[in-house]
Parts: sequence; structure tokens; C-alpha cells
Amino acid sequence: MGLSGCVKTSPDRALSGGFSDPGAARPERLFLQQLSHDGVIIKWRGEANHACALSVQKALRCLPATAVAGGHKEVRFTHLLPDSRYQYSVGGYTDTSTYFFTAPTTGQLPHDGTIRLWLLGDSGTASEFDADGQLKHPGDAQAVMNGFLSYNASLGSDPIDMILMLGDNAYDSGTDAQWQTAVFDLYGHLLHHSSLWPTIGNHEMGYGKVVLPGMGTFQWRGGSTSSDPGSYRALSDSEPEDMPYLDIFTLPARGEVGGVASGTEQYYAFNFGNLHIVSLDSQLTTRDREQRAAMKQWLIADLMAHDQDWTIVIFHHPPYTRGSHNSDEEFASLAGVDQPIIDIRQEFTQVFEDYGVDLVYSGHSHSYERSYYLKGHRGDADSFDPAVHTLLNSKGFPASGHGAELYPQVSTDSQLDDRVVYTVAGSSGKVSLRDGKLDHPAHALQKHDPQGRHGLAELGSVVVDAGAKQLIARFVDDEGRVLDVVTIEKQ
Amino acid sequence: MKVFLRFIAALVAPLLFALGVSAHPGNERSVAYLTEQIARYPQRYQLYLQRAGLNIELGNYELARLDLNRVELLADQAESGYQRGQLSMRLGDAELAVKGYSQYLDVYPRFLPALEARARAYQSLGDKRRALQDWQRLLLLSDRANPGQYVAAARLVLELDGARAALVTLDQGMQDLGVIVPLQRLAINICQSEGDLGAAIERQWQLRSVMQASALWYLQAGELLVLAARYSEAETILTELGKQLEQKKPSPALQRFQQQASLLRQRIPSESI
Repeated sequence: MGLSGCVKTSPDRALSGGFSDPGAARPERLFLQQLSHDGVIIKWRGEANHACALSVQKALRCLPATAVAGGHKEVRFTHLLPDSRYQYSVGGYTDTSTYFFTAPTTGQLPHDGTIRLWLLGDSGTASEFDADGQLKHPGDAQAVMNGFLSYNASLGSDPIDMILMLGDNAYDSGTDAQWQTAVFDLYGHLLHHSSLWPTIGNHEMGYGKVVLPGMGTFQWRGGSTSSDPGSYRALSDSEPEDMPYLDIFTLPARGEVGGVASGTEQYYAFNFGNLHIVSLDSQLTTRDREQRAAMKQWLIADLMAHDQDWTIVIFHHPPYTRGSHNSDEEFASLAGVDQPIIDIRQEFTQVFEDYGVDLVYSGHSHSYERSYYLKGHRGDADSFDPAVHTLLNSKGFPASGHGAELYPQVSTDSQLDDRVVYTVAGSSGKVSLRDGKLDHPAHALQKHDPQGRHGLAELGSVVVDAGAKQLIARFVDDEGRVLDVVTIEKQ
Repeated sequence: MKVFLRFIAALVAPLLFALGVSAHPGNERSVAYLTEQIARYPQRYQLYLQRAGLNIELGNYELARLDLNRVELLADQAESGYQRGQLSMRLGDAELAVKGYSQYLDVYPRFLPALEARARAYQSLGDKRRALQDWQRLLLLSDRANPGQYVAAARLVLELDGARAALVTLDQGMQDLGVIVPLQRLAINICQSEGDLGAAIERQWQLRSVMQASALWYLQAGELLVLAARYSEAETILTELGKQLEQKKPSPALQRFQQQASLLRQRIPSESI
């Protein structure tokens, strides 16, 4: 190898040696996994072979990395103190963004009184190009991030306790390179100090290929109806066939972060303070009857095993939508691609309502739709009856969920925690409606929509703040404006 | 010629990419596009294969069949095998489906979706032994088996080889995936069916930490103890269950649990309390 091929690197410090090395290179990819009240996984791709964590009390621990799938390395720190700040380094590399706060003790709130979640749906457009190599939605995902940061700064820059991604995180096929561009390059420094929790979307499944000898390879994306992660198809022979999503993330399949062990990284659950969060797999597992039944059985066991104040569930395919996808059976059952919409609605929404789930988030439709406080709606949109399926206000209309019409966690009519707010938040990278009219009656009318529809065709993301008495979810657009708010309150 | 083909590709590519965005919903548009391409390049078997797959999803089975026939004229018959199998299953011809999947697996033996599809085809034919072989091969080859796959395999083993063998399958699954609720609860149900309540109870106790000693765990444990006439232990468990239920948020599930707990209590003879 000639001189030009040599890369000068500093040798990794001895594990008992220094925390930082000014000459150390920043890892190509650096992010946090499984951040809990007493542990974290620091994960990266790069030359470094160890990581160190430094507490505020200056206690230093350094551990060697374990090589894991996809060319990543990771270090798991345990026995950390709850709700505490730690600075960390990777191979001696550290900067102002390489820190984290551990979660508060399970059941409690952090010292700042609020747990803040940032939810992004279908955000992966930074890697979506047209045939001429031009970005299809230039700057949209960046704008959504800027809008959120602007909003967050206006509140004193409350730490982001976690980032939840609702699927289609790296268009158009979820290759490793697309993940790098659409997630790790774009959100880079935010991922250094906020734990990232994903769910599988239909654009995580690679390509269907048409190979025309002498002409090249043309791809179909987003249309896989297989339940098998092995059905992922890479673009070319030079790319590995394993589904990158499952290689990139280290998810708590064994219940490492407080949820019940699922046995698979395709769906999982965890605790964070007074929150319990579940990520279901609507792309793969849902497509097979037995796998779906096993996931449902696990979900019930998991929901019964926690006593947190609030429960949030995420998965990609929304049970109620009339955006770029239509949740009515006539449309969703066509071609099989959207069959999970129906299966989730018919088999899982009852579980959510029976077992005290508060908020459900999905993507897939590239707009924003936020439901009323729902119970018992299993059919198509035209079967929706506000009198039966929602909480009504004093005037007999669906209660809005904000202002004077906050949603009580325990319904006043049944005296049970039996209602859920379902949100489609799939406009974090692009807005498109196709033939959709944003007219699903189960979704709240949006006063900021110029056409007064049951949704917003606006770029944006969701910010959820969990406190002791209230769970507040806001849709923040790409200019940092709050266009929708819903609050669930404990009595 | 190469220059000409690249020119054509440059014209074609934008349409294909546009179509890719519309690949869902809108498989109909994809089909329309492929039809256009097939008209231009009638010898390209891959185009027919793609169109066949889309038509199968859309329920256009006759069109899919015609495309697959064309593939078999233009290429090795094995190439169409998987899609031929999918079409045959949709049309209710599991025997032909097996043939298709087998042809494909002869060339691509590690393509797990074909293996699983063939297992299900064999099952629908009643050839459960062959189905089981495929399931076992799939679980052996898969480094990311889904819990539901072990459940499916275990149910088949139960039917063919009995409870003990099914429990071995489930235990192998739990060695692979960890002790998890769907597999262990199926094992418990099998033990119950065999009248081995002692083993069922032991397995339920193995779930205690997995289920975090939840109210659901206590309810399930209580049910087993009552069935086993271990009333004193059942009483202790149900007392603990009652305490847990008092602490939980009121929900429809909680109401059901309370009713079930109450019914269980009624089954405990008063003299044993």
C-alpha cells in the first residue's frame, strides 16, 4: 500500500489510560442503544476498540468493544446511576455531544420533571434520489429537524430523552448506505446523546429487482409482503443480504431494559422513567398468522407486567388513515402490501384499549392525522360512530383533546382506562397524499389545515412530554410551530 | 449496440424510478409499466417474472400464469419456481405449489421464504412429515427465527410425534431465543393436555421472572395450582394476585382478571383454606 493509502491513527489508549485523545478520529457512525436507568450501549462503526464513560463524580470506566453485526462495535455499560449525566469517549474521541443522561429510576421522573420524546415518521428522504441523482425531497427531513430544534430551544432546550423512529427511516430501501445518509449523517450529534428506538417500515426491506442484462438493474421498493427478514434483497452482489435494520440496531429481545423478553429484535418493549414503550413489527411479523399470534400473546404479557404511568406503542402501518394510504379494507387488502393495516386494526386495537395503552404512533401515510379518544372502532371509516367510538364533549361532539377538553386517562363514562389516541406521523421527510383526502372521521379535525380536514398535509414531527399528571403530544412543523396538541390527564 | 442500449436505459430509468415510488399502492401501475417494457423487450424473462409476481398479489391469476409460462420458455424452469408455487397456492393447488417451490429450492436451497412456503403447502396436502422436515430445516438455517415459527413447528411435531417431541422443539426454541411467553405457554398447555400438571407448574414458575411476576403470571399460576388441587398454594397465589390487582389502573383487562380470580377462588374447597 502506498503512502497515500496509509491512514495515520493514534493507538487506542490502554483501558486504564486517558479518557480523551485529541488525535482520535470521530467514528463514522455513533449512537446509543438501550439507554436505561442503570445502563447503556454505546455503538459505533470505526477504528476505535474501546469506550469510556465518565461520571460527574469523575469515576471513569473503560471497556473493550465487542464486534457485532454489520461491522459495528459496541460497549455495554451497566451499574450506572439513574438520572445521571455521563460523558463518554470512543477510542479517545469525545466532544460536546458525547454525553448522555441515564433514565430515572423506573416509575419516576427525571430531575427536570419531564421525559421528552421526539418521534419521526417516514423521515428517510435524505437518501431518496431520482433517476438523475437529484434528491426527491431536498432538505425536507433537515427542515423537520430544524423545526423541532427551534421549538425545543424555545423551551430552554430540554434534553431529548429518546428518539423514536416510526419506520421508513432510510429511503428507499433501507440499505446500510441509506441508513448512514438518512439517519446517522443527518441526525448525527443528536444520536450521540439520545437513545434511538426504531420500528420496521415497508421501505426497510430492500429491492425487488428487474435485471436487464446489458442495461442494468431496476428496482421495486416498499412492496414486500414477506414475513421473513431474509427476504431483504440488496441492490447488488456487493451488498450483504442481511437486513441492515437488524444489523444496525441492538434491541432488547431478552427484556434487557424492563420489557418482557420477546425473543426477537423485530418487536420489543422497554421502560423509561414513568413510561412504558412498545415497538411492534407490522411489516414482517404481522404478515404471518402464527407469528402475529405469538406477538399478540407477548404483547399482552408485556402490558400486564408494567405499572408505569403511561404506555406508548409504535409500529409502521396505521390502523386508521386516509392519507397516502387508505385503511379501508377495500383498499388496504389490495396487493397485500397494506394488509397489516387491517390485521392490526382487527386484532391489536382491542388489546391496546383493554390493557391501558395511551398513545399509538405510526407512519406510512405521509401526512399527519391524530384521532379522537377512541374505543371499539374495528371497521372501515364509514362504520365509525362518534357516539359509540369516541369520548364526547358536553355538546355531543367528539372531544378535541386540548384546551378545556383534555382526555382523562380513565374515561368518565366507563371508569376504565380504555381509550387510545392513534396518530399517523408520517410527514417527517416528505408530504404526499396521492389520492388521499385526509377525511377519516376517526381523526380530529385540524384547525390549522387550510381546508379544515381531518389531518394536516404538513412537514413535521411529534414531541411527547410525559410528566406525573399529563402526557402531552404536540405536532411541530418544519418552522417550529405547534399545529396540534393532545393531552391525556391522570385524575 | 451498447451505446444504443444505454440510451434506452437512460430513457427507461426515470419511468422505472417513478414507478418504484408508486410500487405501493399502485401495483397496477407497475404492471402497466412492465407490460410496456415487455412489448419492447419480449425476450427478457425477468420482466415477465416481475409482472407475474405483481399479478399474483393483485389476484390476476390467469395473467400471472401466462407470464410464468413465458418465463419457462425463455429461461430455466427453476427461475419461475417460487412464483409458480405462490400462484398455485393461491389457486388452491398445493401439489403444484410444492413442485414449484422444490424446483426453486433445488437452485436456491437457502431461500427461506420458499422453504416456509413449501412447508405450508405440504401441510395443506396433509404431508405433515415433509412439512416438518422443511420447518426443521428452516429453523436450522435461520439465524433470526421468529417465535411464531417455533410455535408452528412445535404444533406440527405435536401432531406427528407427540408431546415429548413437541416439548423438545419448544425447549430448543427457548435455547435459541430465551425463555419467552409464547413458547413456554404452549409447552405448558401441552403438559396440561398430557395430565402432567407438575411439569406445567414448573414451567410456569420458569416464566415468573420473564413475566416480572405480573398479575397475568399469578392468574396463570393460580389456574394451574387449582387444576392440580394444590389448594393451599393456590390460595397464597390468589391472595397475592388480589393485592396486585388492587394496585393496577382500572381497565377492561383488569376487570376480566378480577372475574377470573374470583371464579378460581370459588373452585377452592372451603375446607382447604
